[in-house]
Amino acid sequence: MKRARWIALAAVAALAAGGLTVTAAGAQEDEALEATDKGVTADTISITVVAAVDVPGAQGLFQGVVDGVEAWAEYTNDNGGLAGRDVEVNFFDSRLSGDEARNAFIDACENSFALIGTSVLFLNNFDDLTECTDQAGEAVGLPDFPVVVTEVNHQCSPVSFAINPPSLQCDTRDDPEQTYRVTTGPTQYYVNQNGDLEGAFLYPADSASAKNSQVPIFTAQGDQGISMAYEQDVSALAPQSDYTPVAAAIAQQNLTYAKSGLDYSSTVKLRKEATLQSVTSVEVWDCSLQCYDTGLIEDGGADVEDQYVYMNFLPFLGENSEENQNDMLGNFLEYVDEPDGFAIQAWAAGLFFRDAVNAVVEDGGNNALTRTAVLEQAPNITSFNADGMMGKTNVGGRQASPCFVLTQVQDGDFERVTPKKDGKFNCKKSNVVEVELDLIDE
Amino acid sequence: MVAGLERVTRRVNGGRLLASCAVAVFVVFVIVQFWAPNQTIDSNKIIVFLVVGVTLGSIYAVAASGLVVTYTTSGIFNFAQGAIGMFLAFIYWELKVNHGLPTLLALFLTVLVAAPLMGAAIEVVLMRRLTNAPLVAQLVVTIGLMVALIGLADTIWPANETRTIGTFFGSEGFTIGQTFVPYFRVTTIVVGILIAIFLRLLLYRTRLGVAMRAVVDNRDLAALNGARPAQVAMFSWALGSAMAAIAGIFLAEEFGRLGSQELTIFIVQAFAAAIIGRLRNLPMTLVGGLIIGLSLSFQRNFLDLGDRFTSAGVAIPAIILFLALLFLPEARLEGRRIGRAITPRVPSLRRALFGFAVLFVVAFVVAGILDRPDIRRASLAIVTAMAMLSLVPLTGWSGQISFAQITFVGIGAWAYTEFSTAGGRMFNLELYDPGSPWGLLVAALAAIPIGLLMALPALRLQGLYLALASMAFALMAPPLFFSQPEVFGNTGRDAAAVSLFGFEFGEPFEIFGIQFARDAGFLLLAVGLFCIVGFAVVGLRRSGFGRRLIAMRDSPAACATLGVNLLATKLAVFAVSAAIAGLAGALLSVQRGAAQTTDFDMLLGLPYLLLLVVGGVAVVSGALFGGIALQSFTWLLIWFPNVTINIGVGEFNLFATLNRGVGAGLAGIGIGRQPDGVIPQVGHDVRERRAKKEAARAAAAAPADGQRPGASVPPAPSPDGAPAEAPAERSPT
Repeated sequence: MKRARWIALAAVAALAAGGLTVTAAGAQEDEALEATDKGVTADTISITVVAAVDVPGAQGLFQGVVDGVEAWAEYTNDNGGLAGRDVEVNFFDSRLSGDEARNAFIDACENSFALIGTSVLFLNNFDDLTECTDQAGEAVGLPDFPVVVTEVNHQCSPVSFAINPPSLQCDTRDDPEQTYRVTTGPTQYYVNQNGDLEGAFLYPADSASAKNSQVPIFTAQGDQGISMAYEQDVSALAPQSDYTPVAAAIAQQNLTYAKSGLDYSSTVKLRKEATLQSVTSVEVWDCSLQCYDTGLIEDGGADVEDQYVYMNFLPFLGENSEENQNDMLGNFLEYVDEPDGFAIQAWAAGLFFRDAVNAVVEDGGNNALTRTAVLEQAPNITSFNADGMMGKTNVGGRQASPCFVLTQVQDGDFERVTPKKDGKFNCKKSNVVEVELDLIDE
Repeated sequence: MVAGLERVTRRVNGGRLLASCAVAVFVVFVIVQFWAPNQTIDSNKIIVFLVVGVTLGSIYAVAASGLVVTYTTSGIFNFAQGAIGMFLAFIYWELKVNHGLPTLLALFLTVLVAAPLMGAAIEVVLMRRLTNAPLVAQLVVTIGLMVALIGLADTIWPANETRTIGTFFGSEGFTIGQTFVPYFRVTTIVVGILIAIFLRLLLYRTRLGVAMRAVVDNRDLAALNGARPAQVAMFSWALGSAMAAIAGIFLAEEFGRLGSQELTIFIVQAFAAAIIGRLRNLPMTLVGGLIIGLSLSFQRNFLDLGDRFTSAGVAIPAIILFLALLFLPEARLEGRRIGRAITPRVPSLRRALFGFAVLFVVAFVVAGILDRPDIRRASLAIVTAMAMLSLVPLTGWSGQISFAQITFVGIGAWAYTEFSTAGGRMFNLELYDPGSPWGLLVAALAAIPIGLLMALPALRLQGLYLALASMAFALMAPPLFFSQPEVFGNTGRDAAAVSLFGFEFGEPFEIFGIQFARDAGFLLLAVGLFCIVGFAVVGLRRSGFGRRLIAMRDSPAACATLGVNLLATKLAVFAVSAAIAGLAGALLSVQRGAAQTTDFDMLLGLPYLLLLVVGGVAVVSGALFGGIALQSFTWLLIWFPNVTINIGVGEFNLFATLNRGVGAGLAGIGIGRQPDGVIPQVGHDVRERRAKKEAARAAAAAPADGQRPGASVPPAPSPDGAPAEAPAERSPT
């Protein structure tokens, strides 16, 4: 790790010489730094990462998030810090407890400037984020740049800016039918390549909210040319034999498309069972970012060959990693020992925070850094791309990104499929479609 | 009405006919309501679902056979069967994959060496002490073992690394119709059948099997006839563990990767198969396993469980368990039941009042000292203690074991969010302000009908069967009730803060110049309510109703002979218990500011019974102990985050491990040594020591006073004039 860090420092020095800046504007260098808000001293900015890590039955659930935030802070400090200060990371393990997640927010409200990479489960009350007071005692809110946002109350919290914005349009949450903006770029590609497809879709069966997270995506895909010929609810705890009827249905109906809305292990079970049942009709085995994991290939082996996986980041796993195409991706891979989908989102959340802080500093100097100022600047960052490692996303406006990179498992590695050119995203505006559904019980 | 129902059910062959009708109506209703309109039936589909159902069913059957063997031969229902299977599947992985042993050798070492050793060790260390222990202690020890094994597996084999064991015969197999049947699934099915035959022959055609069954019927008589009860019991547990290992390995094959939760919970679903076999009939247990497997398989095609019943499929094993329990013959009234070693002392009302006053003062001081997160943790401990308190009259006094308290808690939380948060409206009338304490009362009352509903099975069932019925009830509630749009839906519901005369209990305040942080007021409210309800519970214990409950627990037959209305008594205690749990649920929703379906999962309610029994199931202070103990693992981890231990297979964070469930599990296991709980045991020890000192003092003073040495001192009357109870005594078990 030490060696890697030295290499990274050398790389960063080279980048700096090349004119790339990673620190805040240098115009305020002679300014005496002050404690400007809770969590900001003359020397440090404290941030907190709240994530469920030590989870019974799923140790290290969001460990990637913690690794990503800590690595980003280390990288930032190695490159001059933020607003003239070092970034200090507090980690709070909420485990699987909504109570402990809320306690973490309360603690962070008093001791940290912002939350980066928040990834909590089973919490439905976010009042402690929105009502958090600043140094002056005003309830301005605690800036929150989360990675995992499962609850509607979190998705629509005015102080939260998820790095991968949810599909729900929060201004319609109280309407009889809500509007969902969904990226269908990969779907359009599949249909262009194969013509209209007939699909088997697997929904998570364990809770209504888990299923509802997939309904807008599958509905939008139906509108774009992949008809829903077979659908099935499957539990995340289902054994492989639960996938036998699915594989049999695919074979009997000659379906040409299949996608599981569960985690990657569900896709592995589906593919293994499909191999056993000699399914040959499927042209497109589809999956999104949750399958961009070395576990997919390790667990699935040859059975997951040709699996499509799309995402909003440049490929960073295996031999086809595109670190040479993007400096920030190179930094990410230098600083994170075990990169995964959570780690890269957490790193990007840190970069978004950096951009908001830099905007504040540009406007008012290093001592203008307050929670209010960051929360005023965050909505203005509408074209965020994490220095090119991520497709352009309107994080500030909470709009799903049209950008994607499509990869496919070939010879045990994720190979880029489209756009063909390394370092590029497909960001056509038409990739995003809106669907109207009533998925919120009030 | 209930009495009439009971008369009718007795008249028609023990209620089985009525149960059959209920089941038939239910099945027809489900099929009519949810028959998938677009699904067609053809022979290929039938074959697919048969293969899947029979495979799953065989795994359920093997797991349930292990349960039946241990129950038939030891009288203990092993909740940890799934966890033992899971743990042994990890050992199989360790041998086969991590140490590279050949499959057959790894299988031999796991199933025929490690599993029997583990089973025998569990029998010798834990179960042997439980032979004459109360049922609740037996259950708590096995639940503790389950929780501890999950935590231990998580610690030794963290889930952040993928572990797979592959499949027997790889992907080879044959085709039936258009369905490929891999040999590893055929192996599962064949082994399931062979085990059922083997166990049947063993238990009923061999001398050892006869001895195994004889030991549980009458240990002493079996010994007189030449059986060796200790060895026989050990062999039974060894055999049960081997069954668990086989089920765990087959399951691990199906899951692809090993996970502590998946393997454990899956085998919990096999309880229904064991009940279908009436916990003694192995061929029927095999049939039971197949019923579960086929039901799960066929419902996917033939039932359209969309929209509001999206997650209803996961409740099917619980529904089968509940229905199977309905078909059990009505339990006969028992005579003298096994007593406790210690009869907990019932405090006088004045002493209780003093105790609660001290508790409130301590809470007041604590609320002024702690920071807000710790105040919230303390509040959670008290609210949990309130939920545990609901089990004191129900389980501690009347002997009705319930795993459904978490469901009553959920009902209370829902009622509070429904009837208090949204403007205190009820039936279009605004009866009180949002956040009014009346909302807490309404929540308590709302839980009573559900408590009475749960009491209905209690009219026919008792002991273990009632415990399992309550477990099925708690498993069914989240997917079938709590997730409905009219209840918590998919977004949960907000809960208003409680306020009284304009003072909101969540807000910061100042008294005597002392600043109290946010939520300190809620802590004091929760403690205040715990004191009030706890005091009422003590009063109840001292009343005629309390004595009837104790009598019903100790000898239902004697109670009935004396004219006690057991039916009314059972209904009343379930109502009281549900109301207390409902109040706890309302407080929980206020403490969290919201409530949602996932808050009321059955597994989250297990610690209620576990730690209450550890504290003392029959005493109010046991509930307080349990609530604080549950939260203490979190506190320990926060205060001492870096304490490590080495348990031979690596170095682990001590308090993180304890917080992972190992702490609660070990506490539950410890009940095997002290079945009466910590508080009664400590009280007993203190009194005994004091009595010895007094006796010694009296003996020393006797010659001078002219008394006989060793003369006992009569107990002093209690301060409130009630007859003082005799000092705690050991029952002649």
